[in-house]
Amino acid sequence: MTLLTLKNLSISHHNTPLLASVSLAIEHGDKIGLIGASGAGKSVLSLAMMGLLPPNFQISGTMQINGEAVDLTDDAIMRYRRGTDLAIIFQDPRLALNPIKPVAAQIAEAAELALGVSRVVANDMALDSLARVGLDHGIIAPDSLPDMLSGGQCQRVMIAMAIIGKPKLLIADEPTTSLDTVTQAEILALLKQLADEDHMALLMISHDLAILAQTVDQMHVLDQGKLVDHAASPPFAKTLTHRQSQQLIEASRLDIAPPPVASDPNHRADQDIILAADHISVTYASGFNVFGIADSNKPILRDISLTLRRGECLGLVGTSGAGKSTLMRVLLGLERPQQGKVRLAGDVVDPKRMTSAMQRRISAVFQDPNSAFNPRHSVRRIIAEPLGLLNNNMPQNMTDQAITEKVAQALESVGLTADMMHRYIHAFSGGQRQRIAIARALITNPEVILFDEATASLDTLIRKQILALISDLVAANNLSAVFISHDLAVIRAICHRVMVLEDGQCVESGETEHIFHNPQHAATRRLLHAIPTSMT
Amino acid sequence: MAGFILRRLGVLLLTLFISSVIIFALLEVIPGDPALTMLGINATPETLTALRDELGLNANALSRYLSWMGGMLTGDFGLSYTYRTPVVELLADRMAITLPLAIYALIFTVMIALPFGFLAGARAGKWGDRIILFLSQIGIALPNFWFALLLIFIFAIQLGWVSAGGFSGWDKGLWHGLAELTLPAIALAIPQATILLRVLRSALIDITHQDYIRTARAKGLSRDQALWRHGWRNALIPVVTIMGMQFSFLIAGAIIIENVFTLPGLGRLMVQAIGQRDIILVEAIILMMVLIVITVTFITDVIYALIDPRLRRPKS
Repeated sequence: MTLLTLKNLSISHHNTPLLASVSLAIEHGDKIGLIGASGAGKSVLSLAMMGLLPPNFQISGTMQINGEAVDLTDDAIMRYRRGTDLAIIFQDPRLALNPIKPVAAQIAEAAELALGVSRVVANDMALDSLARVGLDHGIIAPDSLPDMLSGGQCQRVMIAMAIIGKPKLLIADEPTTSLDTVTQAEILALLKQLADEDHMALLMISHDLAILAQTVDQMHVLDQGKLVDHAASPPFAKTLTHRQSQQLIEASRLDIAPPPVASDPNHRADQDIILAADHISVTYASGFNVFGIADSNKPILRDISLTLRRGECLGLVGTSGAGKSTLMRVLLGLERPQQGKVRLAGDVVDPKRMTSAMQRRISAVFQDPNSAFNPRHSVRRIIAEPLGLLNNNMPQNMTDQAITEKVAQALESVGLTADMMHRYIHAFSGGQRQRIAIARALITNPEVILFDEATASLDTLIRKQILALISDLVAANNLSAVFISHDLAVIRAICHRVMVLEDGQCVESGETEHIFHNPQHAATRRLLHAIPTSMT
Repeated sequence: MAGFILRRLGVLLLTLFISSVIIFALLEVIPGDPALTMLGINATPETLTALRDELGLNANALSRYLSWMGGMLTGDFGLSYTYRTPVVELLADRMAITLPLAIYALIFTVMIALPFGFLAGARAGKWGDRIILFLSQIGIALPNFWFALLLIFIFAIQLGWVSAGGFSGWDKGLWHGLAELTLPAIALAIPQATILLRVLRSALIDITHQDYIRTARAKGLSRDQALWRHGWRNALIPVVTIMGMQFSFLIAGAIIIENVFTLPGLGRLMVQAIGQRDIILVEAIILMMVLIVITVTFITDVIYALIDPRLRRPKS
């Protein structure tokens, strides 16, 4: 009998339609992918299937579990389906766990609820479940709190919690989006293995076709609340023919080339170096004595040296915790290394002695465009703010007219229009916000821009657009860029050279293509192996 | 947990030491002769010399500080200049009213704030929440002395259940003493409770939208169960912060209510001591209040650690 059937499920919120007539059938043991761009309605669908939408959403249509109709709006009914028939894991596993409750206790609670077992039995089951997801005693203590675990470990805890009631269907809503590529590959393999072992159906939701393609057997495409395409078996790239499917397939191929480097034979190579880091080491205090004075240190960066030439894009790649963001802070002059020096066009970068002339030359774009702006400032004010670094640090030296012109120019250079400058940030989509962040970084005509995971929170469609934009801007303005990412595929699309970081050390560096074809270090090979490539 | 408490106790002692130095230094920076300041310009040379000897002003600052602290540590707070009685007795008398009153008021505060704050937060936007919010608005807007007068008018004058003011001591039994402190405690508690209620309400609303509440619901908990099992403790963290500050206020800031109910509490004693320039007494009262505030902060820290196990670890 069919495990779950959705018929004509429509959902709207304040009269805005979010899902329109979605029909879907899931058999026992199916592995189904659901792909769509951000805003397509993926999460609304998954929450609705769990009966977890807030009461002010209007729901019509029917859902059947094993042929039995369930009322999605009746929490008293849906509660008993959750954890037993249906389970779900979410995007950001760190936030999804109660921060003040030991992880094993949180898993045991799920067992008590789903199976009605006693506390003692539930505790034993929780330990077994942790072992199943690869977190036995040797890895983490069962009474660990979520903040002591890595993001990948938190997601494993979420999975252990979800599978403990032996659900017939596990919904995984962007389960790896906030994880690095190596961890992502591990989590995907784990989900697949557990689904096979328990004959559990899997509904994987993602914006990334490459991720889904290596996990699922059939695929649905969701576009603006409608299921527009379906492939009953791989290869998906051939079967999915709808325009939206084609766009998503196209976007998952990062076939952008790094910007051409203008080679000037009159310059010696060492004169061309715009940014150089020389034997950088950073340690953080990791323990404190009774008087609050640090008594033990943890090395974050160990003896890192790098050079960046004019017009060059350098990639810094590594898993979470490799030291990428600390290095970025040191390069930006936000943090002083314990050892070593950073030079920007020959001047020493020092957090306490950054002149405005130096600050003008370097700028940055960060990961999350949703929290990178003051929501009470207009776009014009946001973009114009760094102009204070020009003109002897005095923004009033520039006329209003001149500022408006510069902001308009910056907006147009990132593919937006000048009339957008008077709006506020909430009026823009994630991709547009990242464009605004880039416009803000460009306004002082910098020579170096640092991109810290600048595409990690964007969906694949937007990611490709932003990467192409960055590539164009670097070429057009003879910029130099440092591009930090955990994803080698993104690095390959945009960087001439790449440095691989592991545990604060540079383990390998060289021309990007060379590294791709001839990786020397195990860490590099792990990163390469983790790139989801199966498009067949 | 033991390590955590030891660390916090160390901080407590350090803070107490620094405060004592500051309080002592205040006496030093008063321009001119402290004895003259206390006695006023009409003092005779004899009384002035006598007071200077009593204050030990002829010794140097370090030895005076050491003998002052030594006295404090052995329970000898000196002699009040205006009352001519040992300061320690005065303080003990007043604390016998102020401390029970503050604790009594805090109990009322918690009894009102926690259930109504939880109800309002869990049912945000519904009728119960709106009524509670409206009433708490009145509670915040009313000056507590006016509310105190209202309580006296209704319960003491109209109904005659309790006396309108004064305190006849604990000798007549616990219940008699508590009955006399009930109206002042309620008058102190209402404005505090309405603030605390709102803090709890907004903390709960905030937590309702957290991802881990959604996770708890996905396990099969109902909305209320999820909030009760996973939200409650998390919401208590800001509530405990405010409660700690409120208790310190109840000790040091109850002066208006003490006046309305003619209670001889610590607040009134301090105002009188300042008015009469009884520096010995003022010093002792301030140090006493500092000690109470620091102790309350210490207790607050321990409660934090009980709520949130993350805080028990050494910081890293």
